[in-house]
Amino acid sequence: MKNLIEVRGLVKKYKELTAINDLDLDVKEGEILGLLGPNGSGKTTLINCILSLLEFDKGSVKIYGEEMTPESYHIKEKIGVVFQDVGVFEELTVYENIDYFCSLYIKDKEKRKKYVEDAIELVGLGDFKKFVPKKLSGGLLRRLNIACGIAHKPEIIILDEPTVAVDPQSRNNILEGIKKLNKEGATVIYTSHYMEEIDLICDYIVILDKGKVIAKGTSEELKESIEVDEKIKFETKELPNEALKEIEGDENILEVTYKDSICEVTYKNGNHNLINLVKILNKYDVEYESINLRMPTLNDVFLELTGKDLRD
Amino acid sequence: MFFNVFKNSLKILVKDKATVFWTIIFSILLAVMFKMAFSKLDDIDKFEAIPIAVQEQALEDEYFSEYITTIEKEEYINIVKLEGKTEEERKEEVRKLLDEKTIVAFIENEESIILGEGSSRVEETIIKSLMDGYIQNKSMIMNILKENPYTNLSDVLDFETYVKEELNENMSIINTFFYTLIGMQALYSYIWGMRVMYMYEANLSTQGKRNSISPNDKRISVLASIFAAWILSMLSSLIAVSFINFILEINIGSKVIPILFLLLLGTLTGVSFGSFIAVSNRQSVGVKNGIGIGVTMFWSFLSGMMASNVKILVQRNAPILNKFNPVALITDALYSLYYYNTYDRYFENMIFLFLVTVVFILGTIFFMRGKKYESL
Repeated sequence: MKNLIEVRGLVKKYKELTAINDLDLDVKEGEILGLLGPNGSGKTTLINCILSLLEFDKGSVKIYGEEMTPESYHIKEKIGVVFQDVGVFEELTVYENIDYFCSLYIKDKEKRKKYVEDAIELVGLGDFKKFVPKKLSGGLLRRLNIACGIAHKPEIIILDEPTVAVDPQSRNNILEGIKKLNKEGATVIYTSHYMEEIDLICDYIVILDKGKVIAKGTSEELKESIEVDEKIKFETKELPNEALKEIEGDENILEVTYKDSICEVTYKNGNHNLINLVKILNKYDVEYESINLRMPTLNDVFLELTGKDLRD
Repeated sequence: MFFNVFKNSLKILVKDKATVFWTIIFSILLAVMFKMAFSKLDDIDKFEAIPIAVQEQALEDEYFSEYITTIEKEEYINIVKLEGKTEEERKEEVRKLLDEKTIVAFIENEESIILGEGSSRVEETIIKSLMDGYIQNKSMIMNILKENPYTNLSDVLDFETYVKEELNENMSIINTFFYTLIGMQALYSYIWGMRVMYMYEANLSTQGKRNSISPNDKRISVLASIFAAWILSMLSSLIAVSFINFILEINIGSKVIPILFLLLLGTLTGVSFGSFIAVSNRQSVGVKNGIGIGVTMFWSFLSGMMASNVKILVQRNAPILNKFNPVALITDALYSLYYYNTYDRYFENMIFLFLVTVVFILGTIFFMRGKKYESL
């Protein structure tokens, strides 16, 4: 797959603060690329630099092999962006808003009409065509925001945290819509600080922190790259020292914590960890409940790489 | 593309209820309030011609006679004819008329006025200023005649104009309030201009970001939207002016074409003022709106909307302020169209208004010139 977007050595500073620090990024045709990072990690700044909205201090941005500039109209017409903040006109109805933003790209009336209807169907706003934005719930408003950004059927779609403050139903609708657009041929850049969303829909993930790429790869590659293999958590009112020492003595153990009646055991690798643990608990007659096993997540990747939680 | 953007902008702007309220409804409400307040003031301060007598010999001077006839015709004075045939009889008659308060003053000649004891301070001031004005003009004309004996004195000695200029405070106090209101209304078009810039500047709104990343030349889009905003501003002004003229019956004169051009330029000044505020600083939308309202109200205050004396004070002490105050320029242009047959003063106001507009447009272009933003 060829690279549609190539970012090289990008540096963006706001006075003393370096928002993007010597960043390289490739976005391949047809993939859904996830940009994962906590708030303030530089995701939106990177998007704005790619779109040539922001001035940057160093580096280059190429789209379709061409340097991206504010006058690159032939490139811009192939890009659709869904910004983090809802950007619709309060005075226009749902249909009129989508039609307005679509008209910035599609001049042919008949073609536009079809595109607008397709966008409405994609985001599930068919029953709300004549509603003005202030009559819509937060989730529906977000869907409208997405429809406005993608109605012109762009080849590259950039979605910047499109599911912030969205109800679960709208979130599922949005994520399904993105996957559908990707299946229809669109290349997608999806930024979020929700690791579950990134994990669910992205083919390739780039993790950002403090304006730098700290890890990249597929979800599996990233999870395999860290020491943590699995975590087992259980609740017990009393955990004898002998039992705790025996658990810690397992060669696969990375860390054991016991606090407020919750014991969390982190393993770096190995098989049958759960069976072995249960055997120890039974040996010392430990009464336990709600035992659960969790495979490593992207948050574990981020935690291991930065020492902090994604949600911090 | 231009037409498409123009059409869409019209659709968006015309549905913006807050803007429509401020630019049309607010001005109309204010005009109705003015009308209610000033109709009472009008009754109280109704000007009545001041009864005076004039020495017959003084009227033998052709220019003095012309002056007295003019101000009588304009109903500032009412000349009471003296019946006495001899000088003595006339003196006695004047004394009697002054005592009876039938006349307020007796003008012996241009430099000698006898005021009756019953005359009010206002009447005294008016009579004195009328005569002082004549003396000042006369000495000026004598100087001109010394250098050019063939000057047509009647043309230079334009008493009628002089009287109107000198006494405009008394003559058109009510009208000027409404003229200032029309000026203020035109400047309120800043709201349309500001709104347009919010639609296109990526650092001002998400709609601005969307427009900035679209494959269209921003300059053409902005121009088309500003044109739409200008047309709507002009329509708002026309509605407000028509209401003031036809419903409230405030006479703005019959020079329709010059008034239309004035409103066209005035609303363009307003729109460009708004676009300038929007792009020239990094304050919040609320603060920018505050700047727009505050500055427009300050200009209106200096133009005499809250107190008619303010404009005269500014004119006497810092006339340059009036030359760069768009509300004052629109007010004065309307005033000059109503009172003068010539267009000199109107054109002077139009030129200064145009210059102010050019400054706002150039300022807007200057702050818009960058196509990328330092921060968003």
